[in-house]
Amino acid sequence: MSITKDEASQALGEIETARGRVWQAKAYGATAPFLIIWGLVWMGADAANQFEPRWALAWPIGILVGTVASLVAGFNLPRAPARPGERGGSWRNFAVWMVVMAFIVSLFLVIPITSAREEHSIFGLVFGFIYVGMGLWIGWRLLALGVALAALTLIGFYWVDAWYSLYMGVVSGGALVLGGLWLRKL
Amino acid sequence: MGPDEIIHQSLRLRIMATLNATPKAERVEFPRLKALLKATDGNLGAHLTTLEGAGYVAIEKDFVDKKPRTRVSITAAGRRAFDAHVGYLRELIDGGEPQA
Repeated sequence: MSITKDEASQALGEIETARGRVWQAKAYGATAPFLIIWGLVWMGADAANQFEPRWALAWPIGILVGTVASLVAGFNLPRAPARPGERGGSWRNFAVWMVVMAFIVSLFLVIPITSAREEHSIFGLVFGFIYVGMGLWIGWRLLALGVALAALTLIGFYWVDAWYSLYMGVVSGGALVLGGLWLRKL
Repeated sequence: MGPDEIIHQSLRLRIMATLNATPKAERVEFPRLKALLKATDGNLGAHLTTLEGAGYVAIEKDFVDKKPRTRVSITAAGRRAFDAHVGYLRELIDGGEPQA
């Protein structure tokens, strides 16, 4: 059996592609639990806000539950996936999300938010575009999920009136849950 | 060392690359492997049988909740053979004449 240089080069390319897909599947698998957790939090908190608007604790409780669940999920994950040749860094992943939350809180301190609707929409847009950015590195499924989340948030902001909270909970929170399940399928 | 004729076939090469990229001792379920490789049941099954015959992969079949489950892992011999084959390919590209 003899192999030409071109065939060898093609074979090495196939190996790299296969490695990349394994890395992508692991990254999707590592992301999925967090999407599902926060999608469920979103659904629960916004449904509570829709039917009991004066109950202000829905989101603080949801964030607390989501944070604890995320920490538990994070500890139970296999080691954070690293691209071939790169070092993993689970604490960096956690730190990045803390930076994002700090950014959003800082945003609210600077920009006058006049309604819960605006506040919700900013969360939906920020996270939607973060997933788009992550998708550019990890894969198109995450990118598609981010685009869907941002688009659904804008649709809700402009065209859904009385049922806005429930819409955001069911549609945007549901998109995260379904997206998480979709990522796990690879 | 020459090319490994068993590994060099395209799908078998990708099977070995995929299994080699998974952590040691991790077994990959058949449907997941099929999705990762975008292969069909029959094609993947046939090539896995070839690799199993060469001792490069181990195939375990059991039942979970009364449903059959097939899991595949790379063997130590498989990792050695894969590394040797990749080494051969790199040497060929780098311009050296691989030793036969």
